Amino acid sequence: MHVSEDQMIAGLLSGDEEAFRTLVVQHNSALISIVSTIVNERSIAEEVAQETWLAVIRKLESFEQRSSLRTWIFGIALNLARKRIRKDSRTELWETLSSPHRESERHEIFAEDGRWAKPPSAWRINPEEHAQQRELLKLVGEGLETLPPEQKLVVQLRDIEGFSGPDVCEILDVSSSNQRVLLHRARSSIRIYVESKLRDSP
Amino acid sequence: MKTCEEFAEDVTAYLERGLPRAERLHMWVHQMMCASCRTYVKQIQLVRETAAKLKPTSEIDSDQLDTLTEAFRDHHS
Repeated sequence: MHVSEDQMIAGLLSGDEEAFRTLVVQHNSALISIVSTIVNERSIAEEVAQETWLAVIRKLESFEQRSSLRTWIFGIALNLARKRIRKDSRTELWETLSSPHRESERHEIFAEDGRWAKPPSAWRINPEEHAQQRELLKLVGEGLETLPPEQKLVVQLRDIEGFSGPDVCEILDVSSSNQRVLLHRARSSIRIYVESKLRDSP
Repeated sequence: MKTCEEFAEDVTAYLERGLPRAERLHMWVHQMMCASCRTYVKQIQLVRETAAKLKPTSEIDSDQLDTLTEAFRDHHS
């Protein structure tokens, strides 16, 4: 049965345990997966997810619905993850988030005049075909793992979890242009990864 | 006229319709004229669509779920 956001929030506020369990089951694995990108360790990510739910319970009455419930929950999780790595003094991630380097791809891919030096080659893959779809899925998954955490995070939120650009800006507390630069860098690195693998294989 | 490099840089904004009208037109014109950039856009879209299928599916441990449910119950009692 589909429960609307308002029904869900009303249920949670009235202490409906089923509503709460549904919410946790719906989002817990995505939370763990996203937090893992920041804290680097699955067991810590599980703890952070747990802390997130406890914070949701405590703060629900003060949730003002300026964003969706899901965006709000992920924002809490990211804040807790941020605190966790600050404790371990791993601050680089947040520095890169607020000012992603626009490092140029041009030396490798583009010529001096801005034309392709290595133009994208057609992939020998038909996305309509099941086995090739699986192959592509595997390569994109591998490509994702090669990304720096701040880029991986944006792909996870935008492309995998389906958050909108403005939602991701809110969750990560970054400007929309930084969000876009990170997303662009990430997708183009994955593309290059996939291309290199499809070229290597016969 | 945009270069391929500029086209590639703006592709993400273009795909989310985040570019002003004139820029969008430049992108469109470039794409019409440049086969490599058409391939590039297609591949970026394919990466995006494929990533969308990578949703994590681990199940929450039932003890953990019960612990959280208890915390929820305590809060409401």
